[in-house]
Amino acid sequence: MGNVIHLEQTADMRLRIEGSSLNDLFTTLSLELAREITVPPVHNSPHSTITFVVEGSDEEKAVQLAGELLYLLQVRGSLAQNVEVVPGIGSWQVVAEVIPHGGLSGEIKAATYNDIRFQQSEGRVFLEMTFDR
Amino acid sequence: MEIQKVSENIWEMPATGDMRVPARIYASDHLMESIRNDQTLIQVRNVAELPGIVGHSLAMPDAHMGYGFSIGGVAAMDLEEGVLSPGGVGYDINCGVRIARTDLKMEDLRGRAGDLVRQLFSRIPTGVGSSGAIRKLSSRDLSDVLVQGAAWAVSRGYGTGEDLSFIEERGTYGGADPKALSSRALERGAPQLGTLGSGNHFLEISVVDEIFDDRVARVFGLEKDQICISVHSGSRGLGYQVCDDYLKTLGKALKTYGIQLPDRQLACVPFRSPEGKAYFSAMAAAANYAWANRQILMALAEETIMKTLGVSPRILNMSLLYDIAHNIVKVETHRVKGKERRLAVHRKGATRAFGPGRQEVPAAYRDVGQPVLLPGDMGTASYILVGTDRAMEEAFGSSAHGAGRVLSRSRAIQQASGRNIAGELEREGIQVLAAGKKTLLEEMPDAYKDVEEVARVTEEVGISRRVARLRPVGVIKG
Repeated sequence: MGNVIHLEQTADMRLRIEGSSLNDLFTTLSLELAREITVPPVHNSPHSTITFVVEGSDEEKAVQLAGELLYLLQVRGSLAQNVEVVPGIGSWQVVAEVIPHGGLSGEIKAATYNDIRFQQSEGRVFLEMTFDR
Repeated sequence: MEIQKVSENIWEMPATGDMRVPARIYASDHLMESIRNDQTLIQVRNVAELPGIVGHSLAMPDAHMGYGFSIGGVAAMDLEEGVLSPGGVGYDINCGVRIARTDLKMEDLRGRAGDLVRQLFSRIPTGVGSSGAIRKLSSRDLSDVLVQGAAWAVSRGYGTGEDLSFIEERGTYGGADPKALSSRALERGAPQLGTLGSGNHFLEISVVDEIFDDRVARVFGLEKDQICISVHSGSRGLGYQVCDDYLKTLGKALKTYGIQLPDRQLACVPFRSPEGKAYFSAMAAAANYAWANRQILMALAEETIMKTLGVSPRILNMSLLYDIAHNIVKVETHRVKGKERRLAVHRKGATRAFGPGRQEVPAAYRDVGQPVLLPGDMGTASYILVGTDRAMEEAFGSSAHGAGRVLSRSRAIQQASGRNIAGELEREGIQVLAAGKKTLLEEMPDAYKDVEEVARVTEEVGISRRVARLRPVGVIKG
């Protein structure tokens, strides 16, 4: 499981997330977003799988993926509890195992490019991203 | 970064490097300390590089870091040579405030404020863990909301036609086109009309506790000890999605127009371009959604107050003072260097503050200027100010929009640890209820700049003048 830290940011929410892989990093991000704005899911909720594609530079893909996780949480009532990222040329295919969460307890407007940092190396992936509250 | 204090509460950055115009910041020494603490000044400078900007890139006294543009940022772009930027509006399109006055006095709420707050909390959906006050809209109804705005809400029995005279643009922004919105934006908007939202959005019962300008207060129908109702909300998920969608679309179009930017969140296109027209149509539709939303929330509040206090419409006599947008682009005419120009004025976390005589100001207020609504935090005060000629001359008729945060949410939670914020406020005579588990901690009064100082500086630099101060009595938050 990856590591997440809330960084100082005046009006909104800035996260620093580290993981051993893209899967680890974005699963950690999904769970942290859920912790911020949802009520925990009911035990033994039914699972389903969804697939989507994000495109562009690494930063663009990261912002799009975070945006999709927010959409799932806030519009579809779904928590992506396992996120698998399959890198392609200029795109990532994302396969997420989702369960219904227990309801919203807050809101996040969007994932932003503000001072975004994304680094990927052998065995370590790092992301700093600001979310508009 | 070169920044000079040019007079009391006014700072300027000369146009250097790629800046097309200088930048101006309205702030006291104390407010400037917090402005220097984040990226606000860099963002104000970056905005000065945008094509077609005229006058100054401006920051209001409540400025703080935003995305692309700072919050509290104002930029006016020439309609023919200038650009349109979603970053200059923000994610919550037409986030705004309205205040209604009533004939109730503080005495009428004595011993009943707690019950009233509970009833309002139960009746006004926040949208966080609750559904809208009205059933999920059909696609036809949603389309009508996006085109008609507050007039749609009035046609469905929320408020009266008279309210429309006291909303910017009469609550209906022309040029709105539902077809300019993505299916995801429509999906997000359908269930959320008539919801407050979380974070700093609120519905507040307050009392007029000081009058600064008797003549203007009379024109605005305000008097000491009078109970007022404020609503702060916006276009909800629909607006967020419009901004997100068009940041992508306009970001891709930059190359087409040869626009180089210091920050990708300033993504912009020429105002007259196809992409610019599409964004304007979508922004106007989201603005209309927000005006309908505030109209519905206010009507729900009115109904709840009458029921809870057992008063008739005649006794309550609730009437809209004004409804202002503080995240929007408006097409306006301003005099720049002695010449009248049509401009796309971007106000992001900034309020229109038109002075006397402007046709856009409701006839009832035209002799004195428009009301400028400046909400503070939930523990101190809010201000009603009036627009000025100086705001027209210097700031494209703009002013501050609120107190502005000074503490991050995480630091606010740390500082609130072990404290009973609701209890502290109750001892001050303020009843508060919030839906979000951490909202009260994140939104505690210490997390905001001193609204008294923001209002004072705003008046001292002459871009608005204080008319009345409102003290909170009851607050509900998402």
